[in-house]
Amino acid sequence: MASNPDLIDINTLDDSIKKKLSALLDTMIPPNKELGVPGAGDDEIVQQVAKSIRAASLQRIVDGLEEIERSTQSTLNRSFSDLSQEEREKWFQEHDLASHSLVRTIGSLTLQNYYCDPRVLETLGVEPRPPFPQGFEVEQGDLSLLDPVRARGVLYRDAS
Amino acid sequence: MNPEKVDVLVVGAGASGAAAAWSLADTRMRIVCLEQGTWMNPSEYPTSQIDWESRNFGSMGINPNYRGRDTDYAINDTDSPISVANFNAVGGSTILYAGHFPRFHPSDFRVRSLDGVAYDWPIDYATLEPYYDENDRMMGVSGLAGDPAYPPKPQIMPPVPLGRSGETLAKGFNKLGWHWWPSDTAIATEDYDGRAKCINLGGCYTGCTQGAKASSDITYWPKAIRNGVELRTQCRVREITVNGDDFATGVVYYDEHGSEVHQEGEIVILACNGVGTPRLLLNSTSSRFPNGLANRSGLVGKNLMFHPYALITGIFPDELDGYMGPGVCIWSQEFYETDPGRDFVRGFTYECSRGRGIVGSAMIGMGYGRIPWGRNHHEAYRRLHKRMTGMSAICEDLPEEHNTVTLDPDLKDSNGIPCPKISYTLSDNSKNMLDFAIRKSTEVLKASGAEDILVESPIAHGGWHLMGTARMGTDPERSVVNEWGRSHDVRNLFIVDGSIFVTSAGVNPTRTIQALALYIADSMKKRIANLFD
Repeated sequence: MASNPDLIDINTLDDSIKKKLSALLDTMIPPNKELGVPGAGDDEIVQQVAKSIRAASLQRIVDGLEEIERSTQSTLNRSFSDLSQEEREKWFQEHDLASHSLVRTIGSLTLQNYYCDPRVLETLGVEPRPPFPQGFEVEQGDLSLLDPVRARGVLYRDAS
Repeated sequence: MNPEKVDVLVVGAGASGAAAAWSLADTRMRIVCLEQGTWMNPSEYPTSQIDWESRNFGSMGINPNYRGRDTDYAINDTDSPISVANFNAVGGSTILYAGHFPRFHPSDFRVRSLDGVAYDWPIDYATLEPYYDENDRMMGVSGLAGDPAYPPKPQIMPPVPLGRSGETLAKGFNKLGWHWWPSDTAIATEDYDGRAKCINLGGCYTGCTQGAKASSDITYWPKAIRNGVELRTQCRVREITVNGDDFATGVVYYDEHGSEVHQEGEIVILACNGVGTPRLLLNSTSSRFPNGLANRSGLVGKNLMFHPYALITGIFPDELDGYMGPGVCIWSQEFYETDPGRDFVRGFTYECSRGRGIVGSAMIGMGYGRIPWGRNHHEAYRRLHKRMTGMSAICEDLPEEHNTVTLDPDLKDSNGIPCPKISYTLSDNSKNMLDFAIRKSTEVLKASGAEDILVESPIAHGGWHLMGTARMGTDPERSVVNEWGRSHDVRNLFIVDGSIFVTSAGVNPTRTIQALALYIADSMKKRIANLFD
């Protein structure tokens, strides 16, 4: 994607923020061994999500991650990212993080990047390639289905 | 230094400006078109990349306020439930449109006479018919002849495939005995006029990398330029200048370097769409036209019509086409004409879509609460993946003077030109029509086998069609341009875009916008000896 000055430079995110972001994204879309899909907290996907954060949203995201961190530290005396997957999911549900402005902000970016990941696409039976230039086959369909429509006759209104 | 005077100045290189410039090139007049956008490079459209869907949300998005390309201007839409969707480039919004390409019906031109509402057009279907045909050839239209919802029209190429999605919905329509037909599309299903045929990329809404979709940058413009039309890009027009005799003398624009240029012209043609044209007219004030150019009727910027859309999506048990294939598929005009038994006048078209993309399915599923975050996310997603199809109901919007385009007092574009402000409310007629359309579409989706149904009404970001803000008519007190597109007040000023629509019909407007542009250009050519009388 062309460089966009509105987007943040991934290198400006420190490791602790990336770790917190990764834990949150893995809570939102966890890895699933049976399906063979990575979680959204996978390093490559986090990189892509981080790269798509608009500079104007960055502080809100960092503040949100810090807020969750303070909350788990004060209640459980542990970092959110140190909780197990199950504990994080429980925390997410109990604290209705789905409605949190952080998750609303980061949610669509997560979906946009997660569902472009070649590993995820393959598990969905989708070839991990751009549509162009190969394109796709679509069934032509059965135009004899139009027979009853033709049998009804003219439908438009006489405007003379 | 200002450039030499030209014969014809066209402002805007989208659907209508392209058609008018091409047609007028026959005259051998010196024609210059000024376009604020740039040429697009189809090889850079999103479908050439694996993350093509995500790119819809960036620089190829439909909303200029979020897209934020240098060539865009912001639109204040805070006073409207529907935001404007457009694109600024050579080709205009045809770069991003779906290519859904219906004609108006004969009844659409006689709304007042038939239904006692709004106004009749000063022209009729028969007047436009030869220009529809000409435009169909230029754009390359695919469809199936014999649709009983229309007078006969020629078939140029076979229709886009029904696919699994289309067949599924068609069977539902048949169960209820309702009309449906393969959609007319501006998508080449065969190699056509130098364009390669559609290969079902599925990304029509973000520009067609294949070049199968007929955007006017690849249809009209190459021919117009070959015939001598000069197209200048990155030229943003600020105002139209006039003399003391109420004639336009030219335009003032900013070139790509931000330098101010006065381009004189004998004839000025506006093709800036139903928002851009009133914006420019309202910004062209002078002692002769203190309320905006060509606005002695007071109607410039009034009677803004969108098409209120309802989006109704079914979730099916079996796999459908998903992201593959053109977004357009079949349509139904079962409820197109007025029925006195309903609580609204006029009607709508169901435009059936094909499916949703990989990302789109996730976004919709999350938005409607069908997909949660957490461990159940994957299972829920897989219940939607390639299992969604449905329709949008495109409802006829009737003109109301309180729906307006005005100049925002504060918002300016990058050249300091005032940006437009939209003030719009949904009428009771539109609300009733939308509700009816949702009820009926729910019936047909269930008949087609849908197990779950999702509804958005109106589509908040769906202001694709911008009409009515400088309407045509024979009465200078009640219209802005005459029956062949010439301003009542400024006799060398013409408008060829959707702002001259009298009513909106219940179909996409581009085919009619272009037919009108060809008709107006032809009217000018026929009257060339006494054009300003």
